[in-house]
Amino acid sequence: MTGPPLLEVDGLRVEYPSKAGPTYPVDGVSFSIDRGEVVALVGESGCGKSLTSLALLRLVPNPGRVAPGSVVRLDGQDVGRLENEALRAIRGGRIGLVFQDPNTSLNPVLTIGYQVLEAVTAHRRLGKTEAKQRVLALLEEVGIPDPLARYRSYPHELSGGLKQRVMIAIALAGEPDLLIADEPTTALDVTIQAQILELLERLRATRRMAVLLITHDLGVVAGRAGRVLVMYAGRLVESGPTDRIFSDPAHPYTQALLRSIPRLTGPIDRLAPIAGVVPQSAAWPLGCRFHPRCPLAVPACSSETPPWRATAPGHEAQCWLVEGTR
Amino acid sequence: MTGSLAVTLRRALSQSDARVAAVTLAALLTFAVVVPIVVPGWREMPNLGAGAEPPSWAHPFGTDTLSRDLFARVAYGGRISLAIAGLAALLSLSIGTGIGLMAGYAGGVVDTLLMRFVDAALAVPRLFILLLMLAAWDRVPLPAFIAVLGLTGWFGTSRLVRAEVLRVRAEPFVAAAKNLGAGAARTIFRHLLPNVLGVVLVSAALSIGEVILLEAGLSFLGVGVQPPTPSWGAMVLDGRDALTTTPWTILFPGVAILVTVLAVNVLADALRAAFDPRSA
Amino acid sequence: MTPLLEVTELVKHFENGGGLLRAQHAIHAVNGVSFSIDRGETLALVGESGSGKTTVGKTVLRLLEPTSGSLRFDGTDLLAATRNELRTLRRRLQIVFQDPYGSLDPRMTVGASVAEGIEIHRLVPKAEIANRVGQLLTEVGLDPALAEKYPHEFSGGQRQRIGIARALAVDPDFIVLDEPVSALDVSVQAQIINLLLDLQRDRGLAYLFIGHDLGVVRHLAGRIAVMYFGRIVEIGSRDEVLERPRHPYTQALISAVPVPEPGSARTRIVLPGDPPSPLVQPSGCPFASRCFHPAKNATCASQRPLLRQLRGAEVACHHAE
Repeated sequence: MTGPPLLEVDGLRVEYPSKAGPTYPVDGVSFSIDRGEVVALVGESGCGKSLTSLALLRLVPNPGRVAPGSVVRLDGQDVGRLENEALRAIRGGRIGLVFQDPNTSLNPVLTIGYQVLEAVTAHRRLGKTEAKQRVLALLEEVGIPDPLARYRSYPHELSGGLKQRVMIAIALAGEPDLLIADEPTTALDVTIQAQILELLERLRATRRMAVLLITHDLGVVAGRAGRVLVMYAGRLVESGPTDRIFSDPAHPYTQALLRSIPRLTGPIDRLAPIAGVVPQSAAWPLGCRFHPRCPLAVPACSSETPPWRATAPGHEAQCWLVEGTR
Repeated sequence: MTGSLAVTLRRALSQSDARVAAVTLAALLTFAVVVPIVVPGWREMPNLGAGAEPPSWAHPFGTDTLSRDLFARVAYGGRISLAIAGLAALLSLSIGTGIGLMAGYAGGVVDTLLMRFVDAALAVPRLFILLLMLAAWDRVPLPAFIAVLGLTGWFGTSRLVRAEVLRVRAEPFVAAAKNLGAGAARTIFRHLLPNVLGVVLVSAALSIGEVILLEAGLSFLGVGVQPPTPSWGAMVLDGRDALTTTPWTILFPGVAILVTVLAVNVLADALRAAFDPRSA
Repeated sequence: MTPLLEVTELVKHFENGGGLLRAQHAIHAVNGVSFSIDRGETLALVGESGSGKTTVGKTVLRLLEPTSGSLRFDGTDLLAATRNELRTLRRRLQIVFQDPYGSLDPRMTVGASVAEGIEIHRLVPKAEIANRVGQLLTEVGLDPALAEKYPHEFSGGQRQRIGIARALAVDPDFIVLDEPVSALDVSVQAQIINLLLDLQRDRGLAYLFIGHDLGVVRHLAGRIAVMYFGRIVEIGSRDEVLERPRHPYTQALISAVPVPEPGSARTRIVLPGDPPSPLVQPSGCPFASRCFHPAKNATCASQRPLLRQLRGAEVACHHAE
């Protein structure tokens, strides 16, 4: 793809103050997303993947903040330098957000129609009928049956799957170039999950919208994302085309993660868990952060942060053991 | 339970504001217990007719219009006020916690009956109930006064405790205990009570403040502590007309009430946190 | 040999609403479920939320009272048991919950939680309780020195281990595993699955595993029952149900599982719509409204299919072969 990427993130860190000095739950994350591309950010709970997405919009919960020196560019424009007005035009405007739990993301006392309307009129001045037309069109687009009837419904009258569709409609109201979907299907049943993933793929194709899909489930990623970013303990450890990440994972963490998944096909062996527990941001290990749990660790791993090395075009891992070029 | 009581207390007192509150309360108690022994003249009127005198070396808190020493009176009033507040709050908290646990654990008809009764009781102003009950006596004996205050103060607490019990009872760990064979007593005392103690302590802080002020109001209406026996509340109300002329007559009992209520609140908050192992 | 647990025509309705001005509704959570579990085996109950699988698990333990049906454990009628008999039986039937946060009393040390069952049933002399708790913690892969700590000091996976130790403390024959790994990360999930398999092998435990992740179920269960709308729609051996699913719902469920293999040549079946409301009982097949079976016809809408024996599995579908 030519031209600057849609989103460029460079050295993103999120800082939280604590008595023992600041901690960095997100600690130097760099990646980019092109227009119309689906990128998956994968990691286990506590790795900082959700915080990364919030940091892109400067929505880090108190008392945290995006550390100085972090760069987030949208279309070449530095989001970190924007004032409130301009920042608001991006939040829910050029970048839409969908959260994990549709049951708590909607206000229970307001109608569906009102809540989508609010999103529609937040970014554009529209006449009453025009705005309502727009809401109905959005509800239609995300596959809500009988939008006119649903306009007056309250959230509790809708199933979890329909509520998540409403959340997506709200995220689409600002005509975003990038949709951040943070575990959009985790709270849903598998058959409903398939529906929502299908919908996201359709929207990406028809709107040429980029999607940042944040998930813990490598199964959700396969066949949905073009590229995968694997995150561990506040840092990216591997990035590459989805097919390669699954067929030829370079980082021992990615390899171990793939081995630990109970699968529907193949021999029913004993599972291969990753030993130990995920470290906490107050005590990230020195060197490679995976080294205490890594079966392949060598002495260098515990003292120095490994460099990024490329094993193939566009496929890189941050590991001492990876043979490749920087 | 959360370790031993001593551990909990030590944890509560590890915070400096809680230590200040505890020391303050202890000082107030000592003041109320010791001073009336050393300075017994709380009802003597040596200079009747001289009017109220401002604080001096002889009378550190000044005297009131009847020339009674306010230092001695505030101390003696403290005995009365603190005893009433402490015992009445203890009584109402015990009843409220018991009823709340019973209603929340038993559910069904027991819960409905108890809570409808509480609804009805809460609909009637407490002062009105108190006046009705206290009208039975010419001169209310102190134990009866405390009992009546305690018996009318548990409605709100029972409501709070019941709501908390309903929340805790739905947690899987209660089902796990039941499945291990735990009976009602074990479920209530090992699992429910420790998990609702936080609410009880918040309720305790509110209730002590409320009782001190209620006692003042009742004494003023003539059905509480009777003159010449002083209580902090009664002294504040006695001196209310003197605010501009002899402010010291209400300053000292007023400050005593304020400091007590504040200290109790801080201490209750620290205890609530200390009872919760997650806040350690 | 009689099965360890025998569940026959289990029904559980929840009465809902029913105020002064509202009519009372019954939520039909479980509508007649029958199965049995042998010693040392695992049956998985699979289904989506609202399918009634968790309700079955709780009713089997009488944490919920069944509306009708029969429950027999090791030959004893669980529903006819007196309070004292039930207390003794409960020792042999345990449960591990989904939520690693709510399943332990936050005010009790984990040692006290694990010791609770031992105290209630007086299984060992008082002086030996601490020792026994230490053994149990070791058995589930935790350091016995952690007994003095409180639940909030542990990670989700560690808490599940503690929950398992609490269940094991009373030496049960049978454990209901209510989605015990759903809330855990994959790497930790695998640790717990391996632990459950080891314990089953060492202690001869029987499991009723309630879950929705078919990959996990495949690794744990020898037999699988698929539930939809309060009924079992397909039940059979692991291989029959997963390799040769006969019921269209089972087929859709398997096809919807996200598989970590891009470009795997599976046909995806995306079911339309949501499961029906549990307030209304459809007269025909409850799955008919979402069914994609080419032979779907008027019979499906009018007649409820009963489980029938097909080769290797029982299936509730008019058109399954």
